[in-house]
Amino acid sequence: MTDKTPRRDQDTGTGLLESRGNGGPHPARNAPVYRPDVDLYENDRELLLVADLPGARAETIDVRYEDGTLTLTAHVEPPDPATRRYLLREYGVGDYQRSFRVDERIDATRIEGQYAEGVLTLRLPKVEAARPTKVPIRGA
Amino acid sequence: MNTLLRWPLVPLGGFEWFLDNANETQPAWWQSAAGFPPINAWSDDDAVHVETEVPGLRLEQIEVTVSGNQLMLSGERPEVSEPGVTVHRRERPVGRFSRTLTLPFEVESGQVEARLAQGVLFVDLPKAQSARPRRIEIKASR
Repeated sequence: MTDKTPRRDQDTGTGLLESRGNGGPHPARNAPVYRPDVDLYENDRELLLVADLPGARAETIDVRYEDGTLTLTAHVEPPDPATRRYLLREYGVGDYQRSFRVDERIDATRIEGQYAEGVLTLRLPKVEAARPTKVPIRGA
Repeated sequence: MNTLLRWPLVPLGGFEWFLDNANETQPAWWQSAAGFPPINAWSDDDAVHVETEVPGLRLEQIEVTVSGNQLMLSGERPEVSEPGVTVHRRERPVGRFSRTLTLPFEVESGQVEARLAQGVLFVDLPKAQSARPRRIEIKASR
């Protein structure tokens, strides 16, 4: 496996998150934004993206697919550390964001997502033409 | 492979919190220095609070044990592999984990509460009476 830096990279929010009227993620300027760990799988029918988003509530998760780029954001309410006397602090709590280039042709209208126990599972069905087709060979 | 780390963290007024990683097992590719799962812990007058991220784990896959002033968190996230599936990327840790924390206070083990929400485990450990701040009455003397 490739050598990995500690799991929670911390990127400073640059206002990439746009607030949405339906209660989506809030602008996160100058707040830490975390890159969630993901697994990416593929089978004949679809791409599968599984992301760890611990602490995020389902209604704050936003998934956008546009021009071959899939962007995933989720909001996590940060604690107020001023009131806490930390004994151990190994990870930060904050919003998630990550983008992916998706090479396969995806039927964006049929993307499905499911969120449970802090894990988001996205199914991205391939368009019909992108599925491998078995070519029948007729014997001579 | 990850080296076992033992470090004093955030010494506070003489208390030192040591991570005892002797029992820690990690998936082969896990190389974070912080240990898995990552833990935050803080205290107030009444209790020690511990939170840790364990996404994808159900209640029956996690074990929380308190013994004396030690808290042990263990569990397993099973690896899922299906035939006919190409793996393009695998970052999410899987496998068994076990971490033991030595708490700087005695706790009332019978009153420890743990709850799991959105893949985050919260453990509240009330301090033993003897460990709570006690206000000392100052008697005037002549």
